[in-house]
Amino acid sequence: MSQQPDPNLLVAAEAAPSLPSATLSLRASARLGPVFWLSVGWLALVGVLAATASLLPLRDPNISDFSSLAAGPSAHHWLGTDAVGLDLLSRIIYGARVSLAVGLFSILIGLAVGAPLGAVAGYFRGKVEAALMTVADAMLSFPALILLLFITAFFGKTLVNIIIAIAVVTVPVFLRLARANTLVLAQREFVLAARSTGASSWRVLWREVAPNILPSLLTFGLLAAAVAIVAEGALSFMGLSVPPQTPTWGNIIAGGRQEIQTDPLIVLFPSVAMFLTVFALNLAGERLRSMIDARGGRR
Amino acid sequence: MTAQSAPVLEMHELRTWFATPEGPLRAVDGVSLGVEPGRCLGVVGESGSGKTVLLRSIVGLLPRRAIASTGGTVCFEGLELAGAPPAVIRDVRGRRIGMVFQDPMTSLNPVMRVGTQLTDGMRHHLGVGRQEARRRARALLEAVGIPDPERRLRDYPHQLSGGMRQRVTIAIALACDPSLLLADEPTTALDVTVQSQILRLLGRLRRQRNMAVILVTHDMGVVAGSTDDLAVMYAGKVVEQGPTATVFSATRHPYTRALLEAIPRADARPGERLATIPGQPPSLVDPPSGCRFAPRCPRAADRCRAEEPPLAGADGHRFACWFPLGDPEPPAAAT
Repeated sequence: MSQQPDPNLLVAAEAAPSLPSATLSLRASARLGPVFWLSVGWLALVGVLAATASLLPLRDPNISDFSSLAAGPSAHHWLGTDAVGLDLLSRIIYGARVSLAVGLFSILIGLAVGAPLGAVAGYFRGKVEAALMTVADAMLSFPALILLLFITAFFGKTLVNIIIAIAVVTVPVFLRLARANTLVLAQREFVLAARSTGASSWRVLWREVAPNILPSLLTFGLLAAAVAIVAEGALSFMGLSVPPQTPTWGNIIAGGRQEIQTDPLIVLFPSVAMFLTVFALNLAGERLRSMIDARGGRR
Repeated sequence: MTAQSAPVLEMHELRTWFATPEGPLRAVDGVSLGVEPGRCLGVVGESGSGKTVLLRSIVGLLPRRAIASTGGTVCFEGLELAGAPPAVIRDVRGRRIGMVFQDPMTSLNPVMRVGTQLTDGMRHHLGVGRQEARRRARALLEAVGIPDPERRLRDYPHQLSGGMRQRVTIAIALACDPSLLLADEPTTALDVTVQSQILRLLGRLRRQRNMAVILVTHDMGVVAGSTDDLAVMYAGKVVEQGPTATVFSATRHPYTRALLEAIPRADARPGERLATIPGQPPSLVDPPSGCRFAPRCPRAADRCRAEEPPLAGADGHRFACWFPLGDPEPPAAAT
């Protein structure tokens, strides 16, 4: 029987190429559209500039040029200077380091802690789930800003503490999302099929559940990173983030707000940098999310 | 042929009750069945008759918190599976008992390559290396009739058709050379031409490997051609069992005959009414006293509604009916 050509197989061979791939193949990347790639391009640009800031021919962000105070853009200072003669381009690029570090690491920590706990809650159910969800709900109902203030006030205003503080706020969010996704997945037949091959619960979680919930968690991570960057900006603006000698978008804006009527560019440039970065994260995240949803809908 | 070799699997009075707010739901209520090496036992019944729960009870694949109570014994190759510790059952699952599920579209992990899913079990249970697992996976895919196995190992499930996927799930079930294969409606989600290919494949693999198969289905057409023995389930109980040919030719239980009459026939005239069974299966929370089929049975008499008939008979053909077909009509048959 197996020697005969199976009509079913021929159909499969023809049908296969027209099916969308689960991985990000070339065709899939094309479907993401130009907006997505523009967003990714901006994020890449900011990322590269921030990472290589100390190698770039930039002025020191903390050394004033007293010959040009609160000057507009010029050949010497591409984006001008602030009230004490600090180069804005340099400060914005160095400031991107803080914003991106906060956005990236707080979300990664939140994901690394929240997602496994959520998957465990959703897979094992019962008392474990009840306990985890109670803690998560309590954390969610606690005002985030107060918690951030509390952590920075007690443990000091260092970058690491800011990252940890924001990560703590995002843990319950990832926990809930991972649990919700796991609840659905645990009912799927391939999980049962994996158990029928003798896989233990932990193995099922790692091999079957994790790879299937990760895309939506990472996608949500992009959106959450945008929120984290805005949160850090707000803390910075209030002087509650890293000390002012480390430039951040938030403290550049705060520093320029006295001169906002005479020199609005000082506030405008860092605001635009933050806006574009947050917007790009949202657009990219939203695009990926809708693609994953479409795939899930197709089952 | 029947009683030649010792059964691979023997269930005795197996019972699985689920917890519901209304009380225990008797999904499987005292089922005794067995299957010998190289033979195929068909379990038929309509939806909700407990056949899938029966299959999953054997290997403990039911949500533990949903179960109100269990009972009976499941003896598999001398090992008692009912009530065995999870680690023991896990070791049996996949290695000595393989399983195939209904819908090949959902029983494969969409984000893992076929090769990974196929080699996982072997590497886990048998401890074979990556290369050796890969080699065996190729051989398995060839055995289940998939051409160009090397390429298929690198494919994701969505790149395969339904029939191919079911062949892959069969290959996964066979990966550790089990002595028993549990197939839960393996052809229901496939179209008819593919159905017969898969059934023939299962038959061929069973004979080649001298493997026992329990085939659960609601399709009498499927059991007719591919099983040696047959058990008809109704409302959590076996109502008739015996060699498939005997059950078909000398049907004794009215429910079995009703199922046989409900098979759509290709030579039926257009517009001809399909035979159906009036009424609905009884509630398994509060089953009727007496015979559970009595409320829908055309031959039911007072005794049927009062006393539960035992599963009895001769020559391996057993049935649970007070007034089986072939016997005279019951005295007070209300027709």
